[in-house]
Amino acid sequence: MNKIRKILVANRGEIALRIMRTIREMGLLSVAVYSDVDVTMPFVRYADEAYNLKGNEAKDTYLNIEKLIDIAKLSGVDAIHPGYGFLSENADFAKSVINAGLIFIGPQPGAISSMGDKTAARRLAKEFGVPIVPGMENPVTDIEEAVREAEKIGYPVLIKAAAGGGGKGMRIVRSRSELESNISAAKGEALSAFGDDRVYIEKFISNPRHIEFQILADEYGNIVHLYERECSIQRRHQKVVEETPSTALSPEVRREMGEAAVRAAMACQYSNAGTVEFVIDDEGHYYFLEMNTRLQVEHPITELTTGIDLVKEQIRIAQGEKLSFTQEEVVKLGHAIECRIYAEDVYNSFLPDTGIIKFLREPAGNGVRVDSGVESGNEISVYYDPMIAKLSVWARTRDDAIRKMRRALEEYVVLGVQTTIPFCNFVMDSTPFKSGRYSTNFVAELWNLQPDSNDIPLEAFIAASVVLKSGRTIEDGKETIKIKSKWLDRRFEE
Amino acid sequence: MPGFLREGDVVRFKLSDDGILFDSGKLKYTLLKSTENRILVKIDNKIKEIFYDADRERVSVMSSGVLHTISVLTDREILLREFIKSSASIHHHSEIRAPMPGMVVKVSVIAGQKVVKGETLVILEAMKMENEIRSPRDAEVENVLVSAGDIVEKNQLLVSLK
Repeated sequence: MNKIRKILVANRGEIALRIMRTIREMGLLSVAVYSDVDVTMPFVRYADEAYNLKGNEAKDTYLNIEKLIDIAKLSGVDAIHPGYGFLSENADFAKSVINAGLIFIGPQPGAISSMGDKTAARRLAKEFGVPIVPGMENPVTDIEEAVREAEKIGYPVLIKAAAGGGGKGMRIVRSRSELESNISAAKGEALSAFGDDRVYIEKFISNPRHIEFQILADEYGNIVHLYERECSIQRRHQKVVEETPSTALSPEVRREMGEAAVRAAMACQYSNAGTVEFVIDDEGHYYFLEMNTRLQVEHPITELTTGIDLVKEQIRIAQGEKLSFTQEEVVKLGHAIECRIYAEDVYNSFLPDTGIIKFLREPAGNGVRVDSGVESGNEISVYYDPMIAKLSVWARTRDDAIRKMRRALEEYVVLGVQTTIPFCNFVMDSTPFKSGRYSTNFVAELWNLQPDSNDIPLEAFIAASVVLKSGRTIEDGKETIKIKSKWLDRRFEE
Repeated sequence: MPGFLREGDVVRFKLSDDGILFDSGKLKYTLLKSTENRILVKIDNKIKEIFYDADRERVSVMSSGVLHTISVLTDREILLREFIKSSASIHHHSEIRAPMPGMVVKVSVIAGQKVVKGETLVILEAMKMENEIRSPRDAEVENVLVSAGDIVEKNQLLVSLK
């Protein structure tokens, strides 16, 4: 057994910091890598050592395998943790790490490639008796074939990137006339996100719920699942709010899906942490969607309800330890919800916002967990994902968890960029979410692009008066406050 | 005190030593402390913390998770803005600007082309997402100022319509 002493975290922001915290708790050392613009971010100075990747574009920094391996050798680490996104599901990276004589904290490269190719994963899942969404088992080769396949499956269809994940390169197509332009757009997105433009077509399931199972597997064939996470509240096919347990599963279906998830992991001889994603249609049938061969963004809600530190388990498994618990020993307690706080303008199609965070105050208190990667003064730049933090809460019941989330969201203060907080508030207050009856159509069906009321709070007038008193010249002692909309579509200035 | 306010409403006020005088009444408060982005005030028996950001004439406050932005303008500034707005609408000219920094992936129109409302003009990639910039109305493309591969700044002019 190769005991790990020092780990390079090949990632940035909140996830780099979250991983380094566990590394420190385990008495190990951490190494950060950072791009030029990231030098002032908290994860860089949290690490025991930090190395500049020089540059800002992802391809020159967090996606640059050569630079990362060089720094790993230079800093004398035993292992590399890839986090999520960037190179976390890149089999070539995992191979390069292993070839450099280091431990890759994640699955074997073979499992990454077989699950990373979504069409290969579908074939494998089918073979192991896991139900799959009807559709193509191989990527699109030409447009005529795509037209034929889409006709055969029946519109609406979903175009997905074979190398995909995170909703990138994914498009819903409702008719033949939209097919070609969407395939080319999906290919473009897939190429820039994954360096692979292969896409395939599957049946678009209407009103689906998106439910995934957390898997932990050691290198000796022991596999357990840590139950589900419901991830149906999405915009642009990307999750914003997640919860566990899901209100959609009966105990029998939950057990069945858990077993199917374990079989999917078995199919690719999986080791380390992974997530098996399913969609459930409105009749309650579940289908395998894909397996994410990495730590998931929303992993905190599983940690809150099981008490298991997933990063610690990942490191233990990677250094050859056996799982220290069996399926029966996994105890799940209470209810957890996560809200992702992104820099986005929720009143303008959730477009990413950029800028400097001028002021930040995070919520706290009993049952509140904040996985944050930024502080006041940090910039949300155009180079990377606009995530500010993940806010998770735990309570004994679902109702209490919703109330706790509402309270925590109210405590959150972010100045400088627009955030998803108003949307998260809306979700917590909405009847479909409160009743537990919702699907991935939540945003399309319920979210108003304009708020119901835009009552300007008194605070705005007080702030304006303080600003005026502290500097601005006042003409005739009389000022006018004009209410200016923040939700007018600013793209079009007529 | 101003009651319920809507977008575009104009509220006149005067400052006094212990509060704000509106045409409709007075908001009394005691300023306890003020730092760059934070104000502490006492209103009756409640101590309130106000988080704000001031940028030129704009003042933003965060209240219950929502960012509200108001513009503080003098009478002269309001007149000037209204004049600019009305002269722009006479020419019926629109400028399509980048809503965020990013890279132009595709330009779907050429100068002189007629477009309908909702038609894609430019595809802009930012944060790994392709965003379709659409026409706000039926129009004719007057000028195309970018081409595929260009890196653009927020608010940079992409296309002008007439």
